[in-house]
Amino acid sequence: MTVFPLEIVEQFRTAALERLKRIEASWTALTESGDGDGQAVMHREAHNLKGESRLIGFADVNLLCHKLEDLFALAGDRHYKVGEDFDLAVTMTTRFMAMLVRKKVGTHAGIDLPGFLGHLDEVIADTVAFPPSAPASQTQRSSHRIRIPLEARERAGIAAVDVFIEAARGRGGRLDTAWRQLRDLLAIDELVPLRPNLEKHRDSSIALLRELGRSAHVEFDLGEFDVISEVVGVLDVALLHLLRNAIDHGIEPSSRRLAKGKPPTGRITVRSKLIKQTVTLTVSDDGSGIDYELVRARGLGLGWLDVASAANATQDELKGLLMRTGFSTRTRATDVSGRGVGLDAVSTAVTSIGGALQVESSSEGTNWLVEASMPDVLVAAHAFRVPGISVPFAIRTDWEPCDSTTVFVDLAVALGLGGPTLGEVRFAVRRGSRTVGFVAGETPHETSIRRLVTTPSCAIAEVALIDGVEGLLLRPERLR
Amino acid sequence: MSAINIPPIRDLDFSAETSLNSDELRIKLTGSADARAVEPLSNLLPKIHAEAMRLGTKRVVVDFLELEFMNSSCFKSFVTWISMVEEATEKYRVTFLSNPGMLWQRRSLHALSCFAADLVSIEGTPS
Repeated sequence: MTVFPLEIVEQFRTAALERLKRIEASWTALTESGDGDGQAVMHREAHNLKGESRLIGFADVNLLCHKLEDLFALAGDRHYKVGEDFDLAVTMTTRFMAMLVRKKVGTHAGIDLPGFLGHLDEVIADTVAFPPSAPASQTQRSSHRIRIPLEARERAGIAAVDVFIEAARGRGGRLDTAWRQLRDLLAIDELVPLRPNLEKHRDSSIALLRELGRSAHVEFDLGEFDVISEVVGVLDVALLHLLRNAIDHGIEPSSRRLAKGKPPTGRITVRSKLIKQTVTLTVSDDGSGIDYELVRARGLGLGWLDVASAANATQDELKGLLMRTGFSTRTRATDVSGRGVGLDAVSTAVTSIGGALQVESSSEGTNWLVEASMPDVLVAAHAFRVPGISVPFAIRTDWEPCDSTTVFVDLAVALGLGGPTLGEVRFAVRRGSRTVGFVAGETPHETSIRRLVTTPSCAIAEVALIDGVEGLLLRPERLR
Repeated sequence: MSAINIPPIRDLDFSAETSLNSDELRIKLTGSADARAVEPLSNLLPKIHAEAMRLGTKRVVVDFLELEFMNSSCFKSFVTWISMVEEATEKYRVTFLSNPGMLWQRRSLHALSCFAADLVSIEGTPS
């Protein structure tokens, strides 16, 4: 690495601090008053600082420049309408960079860069969970929406359903407010088409190949299906980073490919499928594969492995290193990769929705697999109303109408909503050997309902949109 | 006990009270720090720093336990302050008392601690 005279380094420090001031001022103007003039300033200053810090050897500052550009890109997609967390993350990043710029070499003790990068990845992952293409009809989310794992969301859904039922008694006021707040917190996201949200990466990957002088066919086979917007956001960030990795780390220059007996033009394939309620995204390339020995050496060099554990590390353990913040097989960050944050961002995002990330790799290529399960949102159901109860009811159509039962459930009594019901219609449904009857005000009709707040199978009901109205999707087996 | 020259902030929704106990300076924040608290807070924290330096304070404790909300503009003042602490020749430790029930506190304070992990600590007390 070139060692620059102190005078040059001081010039860089002065210029960098000025750039960071301008970046922060432009960001504040953009987010607080929508002043768009600063957008070009912000991007230009960050880009210049990225190049200068790389040249002078301020690798940490360069690393954060890349992260700042990621943040700006996300914010731009959202027309700079970002939450408090995001706004604070950008400012903290510029201040962190200023601190690193001012620090003398060897005096970085006490600065937790990996910890800070991890925080930024969390903020980014939270932001991408709500892609800008989310439909306007989606329930307005607070910019501070907390991501709740599905299992926890379902458990909390039990309490939410109780609140809904109490609110259905028509007392209004705080119960209605409480129900709405719980619904906004816990409701399943809207379904959005996956393909258009991922297709955009095709052109950028082709451009990146051209920029790096690599040659590869890029094939997208995405299918046509809808996915909840939270999963779309995660797959979006996963594909961004996995494609960049495939292009920069995977596909070899043509001459090297020919020397290996491979065709001069590589191949990158992106596939997505929906099988039942599981979405899979695969990113495959026929490039050089993961160099596990280089990963091992890098882990040792970073001090993350000692000599003994480096020697004994299995392939799975080495794969785990790839996902850690700050890890890269590059010793210098380029404009494309080497920041050590891409795979960590993918892993963080996938884990946050309870998904799985796997990789298989050899000298013939690499195959990444992202899997994410999601609840079924639209279900077929028998819908009906009960006199005296303001909300509609539904039962899934895997319960089939039948004629015979002697025990009928009065939902008004069973749910503590008053009763007994003066319904004139009695109907029964059967699933397997179980039969349950209901007292209603009408014969049920078949319709498609949208689940809103889900609960585990031990609960008596969930909240769903039934013919456009919030109601209860019952579990008859829990009502007897 | 040395006197401290830091006037409190007392607003309708937000307050900041400073006290000195032995060699520990304490700031207790309560309420909701929104746009109206930005300027008073940005004036307060440099005064805290100056006073801590003058008194040779070993530790400054910032009590967030009863702070329900702080907007990003207010939090930026803390970022500035921690940068000052980190770059000072005579350093003191900063401890944030955080309410673990408030996710925003946990995340933001953790990020702040990364600026000076050897000086900044976060302590949580069940709410």
